[in-house]
Amino acid sequence: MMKKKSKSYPKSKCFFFCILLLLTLSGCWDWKEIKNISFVSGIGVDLDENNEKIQLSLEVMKAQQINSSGDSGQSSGNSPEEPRFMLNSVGNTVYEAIIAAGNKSSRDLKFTHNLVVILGPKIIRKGLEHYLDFFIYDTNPRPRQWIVVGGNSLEEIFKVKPKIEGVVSMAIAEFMNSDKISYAFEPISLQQFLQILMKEKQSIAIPMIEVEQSSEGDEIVLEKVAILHDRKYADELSLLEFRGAMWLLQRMNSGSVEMKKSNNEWISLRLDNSNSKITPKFEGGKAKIQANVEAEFTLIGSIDEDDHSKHNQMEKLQYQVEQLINEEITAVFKRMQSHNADIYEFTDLFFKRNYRMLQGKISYDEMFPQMILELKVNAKIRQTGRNNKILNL
Amino acid sequence: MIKIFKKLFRRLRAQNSESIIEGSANPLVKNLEQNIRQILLLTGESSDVVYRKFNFGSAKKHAAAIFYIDGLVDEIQINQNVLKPIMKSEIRNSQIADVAASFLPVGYVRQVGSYNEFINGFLNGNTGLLIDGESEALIIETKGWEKRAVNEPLSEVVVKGPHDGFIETLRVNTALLRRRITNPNLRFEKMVIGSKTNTNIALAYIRGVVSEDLLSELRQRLQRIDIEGLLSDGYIEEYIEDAPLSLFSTVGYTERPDVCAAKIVEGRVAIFVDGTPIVNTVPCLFIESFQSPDDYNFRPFFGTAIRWLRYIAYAITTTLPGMYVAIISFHQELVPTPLLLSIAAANEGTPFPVLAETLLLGAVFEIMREAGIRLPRSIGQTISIVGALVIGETTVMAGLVSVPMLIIISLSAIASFLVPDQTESALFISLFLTVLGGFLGLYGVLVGLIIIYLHLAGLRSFGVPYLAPLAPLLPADFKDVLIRAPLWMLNERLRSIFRRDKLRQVVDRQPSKPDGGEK
Repeated sequence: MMKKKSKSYPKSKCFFFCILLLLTLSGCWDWKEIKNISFVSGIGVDLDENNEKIQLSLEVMKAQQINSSGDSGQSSGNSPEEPRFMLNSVGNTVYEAIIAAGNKSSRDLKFTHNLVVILGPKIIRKGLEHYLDFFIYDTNPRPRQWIVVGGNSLEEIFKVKPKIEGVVSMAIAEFMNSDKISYAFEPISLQQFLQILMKEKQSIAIPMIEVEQSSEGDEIVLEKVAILHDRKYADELSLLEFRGAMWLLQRMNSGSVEMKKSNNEWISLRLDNSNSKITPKFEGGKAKIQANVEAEFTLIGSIDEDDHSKHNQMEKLQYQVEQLINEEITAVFKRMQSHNADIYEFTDLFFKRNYRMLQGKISYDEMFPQMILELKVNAKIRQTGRNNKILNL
Repeated sequence: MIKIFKKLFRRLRAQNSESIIEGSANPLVKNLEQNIRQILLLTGESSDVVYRKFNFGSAKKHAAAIFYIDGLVDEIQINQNVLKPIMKSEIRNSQIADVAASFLPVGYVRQVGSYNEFINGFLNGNTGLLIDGESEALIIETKGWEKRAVNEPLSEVVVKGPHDGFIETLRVNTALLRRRITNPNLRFEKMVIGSKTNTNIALAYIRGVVSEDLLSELRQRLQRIDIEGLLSDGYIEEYIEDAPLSLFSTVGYTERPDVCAAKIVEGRVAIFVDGTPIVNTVPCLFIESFQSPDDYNFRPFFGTAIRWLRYIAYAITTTLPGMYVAIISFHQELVPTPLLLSIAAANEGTPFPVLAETLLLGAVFEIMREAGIRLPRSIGQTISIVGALVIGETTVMAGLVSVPMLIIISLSAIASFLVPDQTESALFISLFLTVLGGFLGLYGVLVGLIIIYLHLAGLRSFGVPYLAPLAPLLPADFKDVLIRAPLWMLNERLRSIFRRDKLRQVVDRQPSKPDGGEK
C-alpha cells in the first residue's frame, strides 16, 4: 500500500514549462478596459454623393445614457442626453471608412455588439459585389447581426429618435426579433446574407426600413422588403405582397389575412398553422414546381351578412380564402420570374436533385423564368371563436 | 556548511533535552523524603503541585505522601477514596501492592517505578501516592477538572440530527464516540506527543474494517513527530499530511461525534488530541468537503439538491471573479448586449481597472471577515453594518467601484460559506484565477483551472487518490457523490478507500408495502 514514489517527477520543471507556454503561446493580449470602449450598435453603408466612395455611418451607444433613460426620477429640467452618437466617415473601402470613423472617436470602437447593418439605397442599386469584403474577412462582427435595406438615405434613417428604444439600430433589431402577427417577412442575419450573396446570380429578400413622417415626429417603419438579385436591387414588395412568397417559403406560421368579399364586406382570419409541400418535376424539357399549400385559420371577425354557422357558407368562405392565397402566390411568383429573382431557391432544388440529368440541357440562369408553377391551396377554417350561432346558444 | 549547522543544532538540542529531563528517568528510591525532594526538584516546586505527607496503618507508623495538581483533580474523590481509606486502615505492612489491592476504592490504579512515570502520572490529573520504604509508587485515577459542557459545535450546525459536539477533554470525546459505536472492535490507541506538553492523543478505528497498511503508515507518521508543544489538531495535521505545501488539506476534520463515527465505520481512522474539540480523520477525499450530516437526515432528493448547490457554490466562489474579470476585460462579445450595457454604464467613471477593483474589493471583504470572526459578537455586528452600508454603499456612490463588481465579490464571498471545509483553498484559487483572468483572459482562467486540476489529480491522502471517485473514475461510488442515493441503495463500501470486503449491508432492503396490505 502506501507506496513511495520510485523516482521524483520533475514537477518544478514541468510547472515552469507550463508557465512559459502560457506566456508564449497565448494570443490574448488584447486587454481592454470596458470603460475605454464604445460599442457600435448600427452600421450604415452607402455611397457618397458622387456614387464613388463608401459613406459610412456608425451609431455608437452611450451605455450610461441608455441605462439611465428608464430613470424618470432624475429629471433635472434639462432635456435628457441622447443615448447614442453618430460617427460619419468616407473611405474607398468599408474598412478604410471604419478606420476614419474610429479616428473621430476618443474611445476604441468595438463592433462585437453590432445589431444591424443598413445597406443604403445607393449602394444596393449600384451593386454590392465590391463592398462585401469587409463583412466576409473581418471576424469581429457577429454573424447574428441583422441586415436591412434602407428605403431612405442613411442620414434620414439615423436622424430618427425612436420613442421606446432611443437608438435606431435597437429599434430595428426589435423589429427583427419581434413576433408580430401582422408581419410577413423573414429577418436576414449577416450569416445568411453572406451565404447567399457570396454566390453569383442569387436572390434574396431583405427587410426594408423606411422613415415615416408624422406630426408626432419621425418613426422607423418596416412595411416593405427589397429583392436583391445578383447582389443588386431588383424590386421591392409591400409586406402584403410578399406574403405571396412566404407561403411557398414555408415561413407562414402565424399572421392574419384580411379578405375583401365585396365593397363593404370584410372577413378577418387568423392563421394558426400552414404547411407547403414543394415537389420539383422535370417534364417535357420544362421545370415544373408542384406546390401544395395547406393553411388553417380561425375566423376572428366578419363584416358581412352571411351566417357562418352554416356549413355551406363556411365552405364558400374557405373557397374564397383559397382563391385569395392562390392569387397572392401567383402574383409574386410571376413578378419574381420577370426579374429572374429566384428568392424561393427552386432552381437550386432542381439542380441539387437532378444535376446530371439537367447538365447541358438547361442553364442555371434560364430555368427560373421558364418554370411552371402548379399550385394547389387547401384552406380550412377550424375555429370560429365564441360564435353563438355556431354553438347554438 | 548547512550540514555542519545541522549537526551542531542536533547536538545542542540533544544536550538541551538531556539537561531538562536529567534524573527524571531514574527509578524511585525507598526513602520517602528523598523521593519527595527529587520530585519537587524536578517539578521546580511549581505552585500548582500539591503534596501532602501523612501516616497510616496500625500505630500510624507508615509514612506516605500524595502528589496532585491543583485544579486538575477531583479533591472530594481524593479525600473520600484515597486519603480516608488509607489513613483509616489498620494495615500492618506498607507494601504498595497491598495498599492498591485493599484500600483504594478507585477504578484505575497503576504502579510506576520511575520519577518520570510518577510525575507524568500526576501531571495528567491523577494522584500519585508514595509510601516510605517502597521503591514503587501508585498513580490513582482522580481526574476532575473544569470542562465545557457537551454543546452543539458552532462550526458544524445541523438542522436535523444529533446536536452534541466534541469538547476539549480527550476522555469525554472518546466516550462520545464509544456511545455511538458499541462494538468491541472499536479500538483506541493512546500516544503521547510533544516533548514539553506531553499531549495525549488517541487513534480510533474499528479493527477488521480499517486497513492495516493505513494504520501502520499513520502510526509511523505520528511517531516521526518531534515537537515541543502539541496544542491543537492543526499541529498533527501539518505533520502527517501527504502534501504539506498544497492548498488543499488531505486530512479531514470534524467536531461532531456522529460524523466521526460515520467515518470510522467507513474504515477511516480518527485522531483525537487532548485539549481540542476537533478530531482529525484520515484518509480524506476532496468530495468529503461537500458532504454534510444533514444530507443523510433529509430526503435523498433534497440531499442531492443541496449537495449540487454546494458544488455550484464552490464553482462560483472559485471562478466567478476570474471569469468576470476575463470576460469584461477581454471577451466583451460573450456578454449579451443589454447586460454588457448595464455593466459598461456601471463602470463609467470608476478610477480603477477591473482587475485592480476585484483584488481591492476581495481584500476588503477578507479584512471584514477576519475582523468579524475575531471580534466579540456584539462588535461583529457593527462590523457587518460598517461593511455593508458604509463601505458597500458609499464606495459605489463615490464612484470608486462599480455595482456589478460589488455583486460579484459579495456573491463569491457568500458562496464560499456553503463549503466551509474548502474556504482556505477557495480563497487562493479565486485569487489565482482572477490574476490569470486579468492578464490572459479566459485562456488564463482555463490554464489556471487545468493547473489546479492536475495538482488535485496528483494529490493523495494516505495512499488514496484525493479526487477519488472522480479521478480515478469509480462510478460505483457516484451514488454518494453525484447524488445522495437512498441509504438502502448504498450497499457497498467506498471503493475509493476499500478494495476488499465491498459489501457493507444486505442488498435489496428497499422498504415496501407489506404483502396484501391494500386488502
